[in-house]
Amino acid sequence: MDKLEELNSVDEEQAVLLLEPLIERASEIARKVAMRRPFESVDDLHQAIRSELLNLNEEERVRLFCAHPELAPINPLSMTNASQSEQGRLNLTSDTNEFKARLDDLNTRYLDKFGFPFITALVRHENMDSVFSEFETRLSAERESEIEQALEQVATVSASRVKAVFEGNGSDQTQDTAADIEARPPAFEQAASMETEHGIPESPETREVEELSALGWGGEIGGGILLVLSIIFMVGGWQLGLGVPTRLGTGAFPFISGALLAILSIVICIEERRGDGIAETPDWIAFMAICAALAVFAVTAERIGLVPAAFLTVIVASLPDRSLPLRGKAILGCVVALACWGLFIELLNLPFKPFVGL
Amino acid sequence: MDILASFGQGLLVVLQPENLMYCFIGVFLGTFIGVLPGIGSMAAIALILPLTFYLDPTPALVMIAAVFYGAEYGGSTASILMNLPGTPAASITAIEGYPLAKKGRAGVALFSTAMASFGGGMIGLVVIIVLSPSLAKLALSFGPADYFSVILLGLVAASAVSNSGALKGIAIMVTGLMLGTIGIDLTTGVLRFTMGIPELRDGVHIVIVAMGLFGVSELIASIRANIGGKATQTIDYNDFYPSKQEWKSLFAPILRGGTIGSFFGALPGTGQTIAAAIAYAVEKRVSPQREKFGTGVLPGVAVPEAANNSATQTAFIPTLTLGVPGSPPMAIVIGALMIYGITPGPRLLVEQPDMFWGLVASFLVGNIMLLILNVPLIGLWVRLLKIPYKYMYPTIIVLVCMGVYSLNNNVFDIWLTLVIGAVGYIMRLFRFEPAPLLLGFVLGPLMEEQLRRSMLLSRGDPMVFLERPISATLIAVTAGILIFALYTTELNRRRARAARNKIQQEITTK
Repeated sequence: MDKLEELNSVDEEQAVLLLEPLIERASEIARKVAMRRPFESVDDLHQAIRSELLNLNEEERVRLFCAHPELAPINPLSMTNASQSEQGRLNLTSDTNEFKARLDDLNTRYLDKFGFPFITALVRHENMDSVFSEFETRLSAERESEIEQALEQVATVSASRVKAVFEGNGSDQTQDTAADIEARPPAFEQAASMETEHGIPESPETREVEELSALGWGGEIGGGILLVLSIIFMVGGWQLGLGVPTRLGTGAFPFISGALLAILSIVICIEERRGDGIAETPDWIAFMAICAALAVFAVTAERIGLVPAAFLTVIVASLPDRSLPLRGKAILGCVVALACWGLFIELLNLPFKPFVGL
Repeated sequence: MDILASFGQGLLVVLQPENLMYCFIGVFLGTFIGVLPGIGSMAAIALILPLTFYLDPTPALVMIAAVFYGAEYGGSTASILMNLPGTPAASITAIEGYPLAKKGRAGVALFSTAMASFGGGMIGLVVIIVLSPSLAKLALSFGPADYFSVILLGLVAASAVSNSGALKGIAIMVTGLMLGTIGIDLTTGVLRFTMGIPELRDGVHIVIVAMGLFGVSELIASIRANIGGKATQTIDYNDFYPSKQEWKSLFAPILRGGTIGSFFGALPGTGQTIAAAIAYAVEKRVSPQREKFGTGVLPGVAVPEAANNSATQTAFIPTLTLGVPGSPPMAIVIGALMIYGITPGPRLLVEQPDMFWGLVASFLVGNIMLLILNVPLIGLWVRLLKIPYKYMYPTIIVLVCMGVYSLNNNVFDIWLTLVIGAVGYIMRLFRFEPAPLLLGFVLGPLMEEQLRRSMLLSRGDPMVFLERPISATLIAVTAGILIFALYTTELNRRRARAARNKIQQEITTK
C-alpha cells in the first residue's frame, strides 16, 4: 500500500506513532498533524507539519527546542533512531571526535544565552567547518530571530524526513530507496539535524526505561505486574473457598476474575513482545517529588499537626522546580497551609488539629 | 404531562436555597478545576467528593453533577487559549478554537463555547426527561441474570473502547473487579484480601482509588506538560459577542452537535470525547463553511462543545435508570450514591422521585448558572491560566491529601493513595489507561451480588444467562462489541507496526 494512503487510513493513535519519528520528540504536534488528515500529497503533509510548528507560541517553541537530544550525547539510545543516523553521518556520536571540546564550549555558551539548545539542519552542511561557522554566527544573533531560525531548522529537518520516507517509494523497495538516498547530493534527500540537549542531565532511571523501550520490553512488564496480581487473587480466592454453583463461595468471584485477568495478561505479554514501547518519557523527578510529598503529609499530619504538614508537603512537592526560589516555596507553603486551616478547620469544621504539641 | 409535572416537582426541589447554593458551588469549582490544563473532570470530581459527604444525598448529587459538567465546560478554555486541553474532549475544541485565538478572536470563541455548551446541555436534558422514565419502567422487570448481563455490557463496552486498546482496557477493568473484592464479603461476612490490615476491612474507599488514579498519577503527568505553558492571549471585550451573521451560523451546528452528543452520551462506553469527535467530523462534511475548517471557524468550536455538554447530561441516563455507569465519571456518581446507602437503578426513580427529578432539574439550573457565570468570568479564568503551574500543583497535592485524610481521619488512607497513584503512573507509562479500573472497582461488588443471586435462583445452572430473553440479547450485544473491538485493535496494531517498522528502517538505513 502507498505509505501516504496508509497514514490516511489508520486510526489516530497509529497515525501519531507513524508521524512521531518525523518530528523530533514532539508527540503533541504529531497528534495535531494526525488530526488534519487526510493528506492529498506529501507536500500537503509537509505543509501541515509546518503550519502546526508555526502555530506554536514562544513558550511552546522553546519547549520544543528543549526536547531535542544532545549533540554527541552521553546516551545515544535516548535519541530517536532517525537522529542517530543523521548525527552519525558527521561522526558526531563517536566519543573520540576531535570537535567535542569545541562543541561543548559552543553548546554551553549558546544554551546560556538563549535558554534552549542549538538546533541546525545538517542538510545544508557538507562538513563540520560549515557547522562551526553557522554556530558562531547564530550565537551572536538576537533571541527573537534565533527562535525563528531554530524553528525553521526544525521544520527543514522534518520536511526532509517526510520526503525521505513518503516520496514515491513502494513498500518493497526499501533497499533501493536507501541506496538512492545516499547516491544523491545530501542537500535534499538526506534528512539531517544536529541537536543538543538542555542543561538538566537525564536521571539514570530515565535512561534505563528508555533502553527497555528500545528493546520493546515495556508492555511485558505491565502485563507481568497484572499477571502477578491475578495469581495472588486466584490463590487467595481458592483458599477462601469457591463454594458450589448454587451457592458461590466467598472466593468464587475473586478466583474467576483472577483467572480471567491471568489469561488476559499472558496474551498482553505475548502481544507486547513485539513491542510498542512506553507511552511517554517518564518524568521520574516529578514522580518522586509527588510521592515524597504524600509520604511527608502521611508522616507528619498526626505528629505535628495539619498546618505544618501542609507547609512541608508544598515544599517537598515543589522541590524539583528550580525556577521557584526557596523563599518563594516557603511563601507558597505558608499561604496554602493557612488557607487549609481557614477552609477545612474554621469554615468546614472538620475535626483536624491545626497544630500538635504546642 | 406526567413527566412535566414530575420535572416541575424537581424544579421546586432544586430551587430550595440549599440546593441552589451547592449547585452554584459545584459549577464554579468544576469550571475552576476544569480550566487548569491537564486536569480532567475525573480529578475534579475526585477532589470535590470528600466535601460532599457532609451534605444530604440530594444536594451532594446535584453538586457532583455540577462539578462534572462545569469541568467539562471549563476544559475548553485552556484548549482555546493555550492549545492545552483541560479535558480530553476539549482537544477537539482546540482544533478550531486555538487558531481563532491566534487570530485575536479568543473572546468570540469563548463566548460561542458558552452558548454551545448551554444549547447542547438543553438538548441532552430533553432527552433525559423523555427517555429515563420509560427506560426505568423497562428495567423494573429485570431479574438478577438480566442485571448481571447489563453490568457486563456496561463494563465491556466502556473498557473495550479505551485508548490503550481493547485487550488492555479489559485487563485493567478486570483488575478493578478484583480490587473491588477487598474487604468484608457482605454475603458471608468473611474478610477478603485484607492482609490483616484493619483499615482494609471496609474495602478501599472509592475516593482513594479515584484520587490515586486521577489526582496523583494525572498530576505527575501534567507537571511536565505545563512547564512554561502560560496564556499569553488577552480577551478583547469589544470583540466578544459574535456578529448577527455569526449568531445565525451557530444555530444549526449547536443543534446538530447537541443531538449527536445526546445519542453517544447515553450509550455505554462512548462518552464525551467520542461524541465531540464524531460531531466535529460530521460538521466538517455538512457545514457550508467546510472548506475553512481547520483554520479557525466558529461553528467548528461550537459543534464539539455542544456535543460534549449534551453527552455529559445524557450519560446520566443509564447511570440513574439502570444503575450502570456508561463512563468512568459516572462510576464515581454510582459510588457516591452507594456511600449514602442508595442503590442506583430503576427503583431510584420510584422510591426517590425528589432526588431523581431534582437532579434532572438541576441540569437546567446549573447550565443557566454556567452561562451567567462564565460570560462575565471569562476574564477571571484567563487570569487563572496566567498563574504559573509551579504554584498550582503543590496546592493541588495538598488538597488531595486533605480530601483523603478527611475520609476517616486516618493517615493509612494517604499511604494507600500514594501506592495506587504510583502504580497508576507506572501503568500509564506502559499504555494502560486507568479509567476502566474505576468502573470495574465500582461495579464489581454489584456484579458479584447479581451473579450469586442468579446462580441461586437457577439452582446452579449458568445457562440462565442465555435463556432469559433480555439477558441473552445483552450477552449477544456484549459479545459483538468484544469481537469488533478486539478485531479492530489487532488490525490497527498490525498496520501501525508494519508501517512504523518500515519508516524506522528507512530512516536508519543510510
